[in-house]
Amino acid sequence: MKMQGHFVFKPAIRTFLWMMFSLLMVGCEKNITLDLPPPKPFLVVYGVVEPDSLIKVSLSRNSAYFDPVDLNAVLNLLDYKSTVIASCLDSVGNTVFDTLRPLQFPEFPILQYWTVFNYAGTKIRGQHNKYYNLRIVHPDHEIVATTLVPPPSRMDSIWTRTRAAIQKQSNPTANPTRRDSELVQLYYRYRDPQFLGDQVRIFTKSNSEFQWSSAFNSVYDDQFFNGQSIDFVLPRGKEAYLFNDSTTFDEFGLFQSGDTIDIKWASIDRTGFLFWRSLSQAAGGGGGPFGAQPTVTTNLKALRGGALGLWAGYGSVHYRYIVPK
Amino acid sequence: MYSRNSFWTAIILGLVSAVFSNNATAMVSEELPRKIPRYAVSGYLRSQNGENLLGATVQVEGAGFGTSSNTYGYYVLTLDSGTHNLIVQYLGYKSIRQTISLNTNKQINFTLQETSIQAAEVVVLGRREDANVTQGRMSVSEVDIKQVKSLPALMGEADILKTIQLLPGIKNGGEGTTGFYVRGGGPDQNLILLDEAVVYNASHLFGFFSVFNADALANSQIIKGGMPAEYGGRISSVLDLSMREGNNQKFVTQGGLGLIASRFTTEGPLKQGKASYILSGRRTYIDVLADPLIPEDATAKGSGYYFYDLNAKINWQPTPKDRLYASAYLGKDVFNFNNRENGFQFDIPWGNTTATLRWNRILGPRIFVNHSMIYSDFNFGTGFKQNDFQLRLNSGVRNVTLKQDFDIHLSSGHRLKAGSQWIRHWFLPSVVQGRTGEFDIQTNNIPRLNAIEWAAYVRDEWDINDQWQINAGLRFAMFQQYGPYSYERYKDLSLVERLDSVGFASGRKVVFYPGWEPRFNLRYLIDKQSSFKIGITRNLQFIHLASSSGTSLPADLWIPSTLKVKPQIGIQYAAGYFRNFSSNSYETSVELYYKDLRNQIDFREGAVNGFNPLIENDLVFGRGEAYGAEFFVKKAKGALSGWIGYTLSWTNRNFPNIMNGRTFPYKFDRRHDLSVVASWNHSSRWKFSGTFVFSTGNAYTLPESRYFFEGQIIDQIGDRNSFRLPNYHRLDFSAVYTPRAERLNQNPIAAGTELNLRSRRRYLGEWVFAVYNIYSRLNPFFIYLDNEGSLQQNSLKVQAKQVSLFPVIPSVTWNFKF
Repeated sequence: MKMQGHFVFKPAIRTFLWMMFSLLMVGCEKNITLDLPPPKPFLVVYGVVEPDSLIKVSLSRNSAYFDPVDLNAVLNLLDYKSTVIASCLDSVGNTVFDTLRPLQFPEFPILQYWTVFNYAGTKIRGQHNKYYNLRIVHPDHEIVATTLVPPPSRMDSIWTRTRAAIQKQSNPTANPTRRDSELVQLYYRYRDPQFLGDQVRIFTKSNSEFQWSSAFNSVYDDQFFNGQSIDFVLPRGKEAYLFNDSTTFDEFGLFQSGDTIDIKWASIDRTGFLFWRSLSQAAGGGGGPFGAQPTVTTNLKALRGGALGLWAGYGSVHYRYIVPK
Repeated sequence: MYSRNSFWTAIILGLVSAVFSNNATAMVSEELPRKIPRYAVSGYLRSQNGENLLGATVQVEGAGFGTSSNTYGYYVLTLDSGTHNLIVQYLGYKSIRQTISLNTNKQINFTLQETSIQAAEVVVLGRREDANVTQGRMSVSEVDIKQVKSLPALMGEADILKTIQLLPGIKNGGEGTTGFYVRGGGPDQNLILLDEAVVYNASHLFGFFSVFNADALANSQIIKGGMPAEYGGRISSVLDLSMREGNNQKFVTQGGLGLIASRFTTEGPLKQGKASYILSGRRTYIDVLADPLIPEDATAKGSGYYFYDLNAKINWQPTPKDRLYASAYLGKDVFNFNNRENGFQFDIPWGNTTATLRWNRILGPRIFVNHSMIYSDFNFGTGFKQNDFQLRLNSGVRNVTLKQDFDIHLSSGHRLKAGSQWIRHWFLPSVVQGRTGEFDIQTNNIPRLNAIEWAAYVRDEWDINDQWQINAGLRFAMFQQYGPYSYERYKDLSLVERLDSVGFASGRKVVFYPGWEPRFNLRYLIDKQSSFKIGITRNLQFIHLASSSGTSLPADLWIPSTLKVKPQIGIQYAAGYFRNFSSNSYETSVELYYKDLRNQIDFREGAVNGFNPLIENDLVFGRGEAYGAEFFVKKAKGALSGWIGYTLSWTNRNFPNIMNGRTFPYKFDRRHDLSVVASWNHSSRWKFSGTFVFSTGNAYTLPESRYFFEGQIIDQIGDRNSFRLPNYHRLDFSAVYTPRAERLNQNPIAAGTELNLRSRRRYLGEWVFAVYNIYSRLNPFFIYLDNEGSLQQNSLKVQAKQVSLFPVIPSVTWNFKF
């Protein structure tokens, strides 16, 4: 079974609505000044535990909506007032603690601000099918969370098709350009187990890209293909576009012939799936008249103060694919 | 010492004796009268074209009482034998005064002539002149379709839904939209009926135009409180519309050319005076006009949008006692988008279909019965196709209704209405079908949901004496959902830990909800010019609209009450003072209301827009309340007519699982809402109208802070609806020019001793010039926060922006009739 689209009806409808307004209505837009109330303080947490890697955590604060936004502001929001402790059970049932150490620049690179992990573990490395706890103690916040590094799931196969071939298939009279022959769409085949409830997050890293990054819709579950084999598009991660003005909207999600593509296929638990799905909608600018303002879910529990973010367990499996020239 | 029961008995007896005290006094102080035989006079009230006139009044001159015609134009009066003068009145028609001699039951039909051709004699009344004061029901308004056509309209499209938004207590859903919200209720809580058939989604183009073609409409009535017992299934309001029946005397063709759509209507007799038909259609033509301008090789060639409506109705009177009707409505919006370069095709069709069969029969001079068989359907689809992959989502709701209504005239001043209703519901919450190559895509679709609703009611309208009138009813409704049905139970709203799933086989009972719906209205006539009324109603609603957007969209899902989703309950208390001035030229009223809304639904925090077959799991349940005061002043007579309506209101919602149970304003909570409507009949050829509206800005949710996650900026949403959009105000104007029906003859021919200087035009024309938003106020449609630039490139700038839709928009519409 081959699936080339995404289940994106609502976004598609929203796109249509915006188009209708653009085309049919003589709309007007103007800048205004808003007087928003002072924000409630939150600690923003992104902790990652995955097989064979030390635990890493990014800790930062939220900011007032109209505060300046630049790289310095991002660095200034990083939090160093916390004590971060991860724990898990060892093979004989004893609890192992790992107090994460804070990382200051230049221990983490600031050239690429995908995620700044400013706390790093020293002892615990992730394992499949195992639970991990996180505890963060800050003067104003106290946060706990538990996550699972799920058992691995695996792709069946990977392949690419040029955009020129795709165009020719849908329209035999199309005249693809040379660029269309260079750009490729990456596909994968996945055989889903019989049990409902498998979720996965997909990352890519190609050529010289620095960090793993994912596409705008990065998580999938098996609601529509439980127990079946599917063929699906594997879009390129966002990092390629965040730092490259020359990448046009038209080339979103595509690789090029000759690219070396690393793929991280990470099984995730349901909490993680719901978090990433709500986050992608929030980042996509929900709200306005055609969609409710989305609230991003979390698996963090704030015993004091407030918490946003995710303590993420990734049951990662790695692949490499070199696009034929 | 009284027991508690004795105490209440004493109170009730006291009240009853107070109510009847005038009568009792009269009976002891006068000699018992000799019994005079009484007879019923009944019949139909119709226009000169044969159309039934709903709500027309028949009064007995000098007696101070009368009656009004029912939905089918039928009236009954019981009078002493002897001679009486009857006065028949109806909106926009010349009154009839007729003397009758009654010595047996009589059927007398009245035919009323329109007054529209005599511009100076404009009557803006749809019922008794003093009905504002005397009628027992409160919170009811009738809107004249002719008035709808003359008021200024967006892009010249006359719209009944936009006109009712100008009444107090009824708020619009946003700039230019047809969605309406009555006394704090939601859009799904309005029962919109077209010839008794439910219209589930009454809008085209996402709410900017309604599905109701004004050329095809005869009567309209909006009930925003004190709902009579014959209506059920919704908890906020009833908008009862009836289609025209067609001219049974001559063939007439009429239509109009507008900026975005054109209309065409044909009607005429199938059998002179006995049967007639009407066929009316409307279609937009942006797609047709734009198509030749799009190059053949354009990537998006074949893309376009249009909507259309088709109304059809026939009626036949085989005997004086029987009348049959068949009517239907079909309306659709269709959007297609093609991208040939990528082989991408996308389409969104949606629309309503209704059909109604009715049989009226006069069982006796005092009993009128109507049998109806009704079909309603709304469906929404989205299709996506690229190469050999295709996917389609469908959702919808459908019902078949059988109902019977009896109008029983017990005596003058005592009318009974009773009936029953059986509804078979089908719900298609969301079904995805896909295919790629030769393979079908398996989806975990929930099957069609099934339910049956049944209701029976009785309503009594009783003039106890000259002062007191009771309009009381009782409705008993039952709703049963049956299989197939299944749902999953989770430990909590995070939907992470699934406990189990519950399944029901096809045809098996899932849940049964019975309930009583008492309706009570009481009027006390203080004097001939003023009255005081109260109303208390309890309504049940067994279906719900799950909407995640800030406005009502066709993609919103209708879902039934299920094991998890309980029926909505609405309890409304209203009280009002009504007073007319200057021989009923001016009508005024003040109404206070409090509405308690239970089992309201909303999406849980963290729910994500998208296809979700198990939508119930994304819902949370809570309560709402609305209260306020409505002030209304209407000038009903004269060349200058119109009204001023002002509403002061509060509307809140409370959900235990939203904002930790804190109460928040409903999105259409508006403290102040003002409408001014004026029409001036300048001459037989010119009529001018204007409307001015002002309202407090909508409640709105905005982010209050932001944070960074994986290189993205994420908004942290503030309290729900805690922000206010700027106030809304707008002034519109229209001028209707009607050329003379006659024109100068080029070659006058002597006819007798006078020259025939004028001849009748082959057709009657009418020009409607309108300006929407005269002073081009940029009203907020919504506000958004825009991130310009890139965080990674240190060029990010945050800016709040307000989007407004319509600046000043002039329009011209040409209507014709021949």
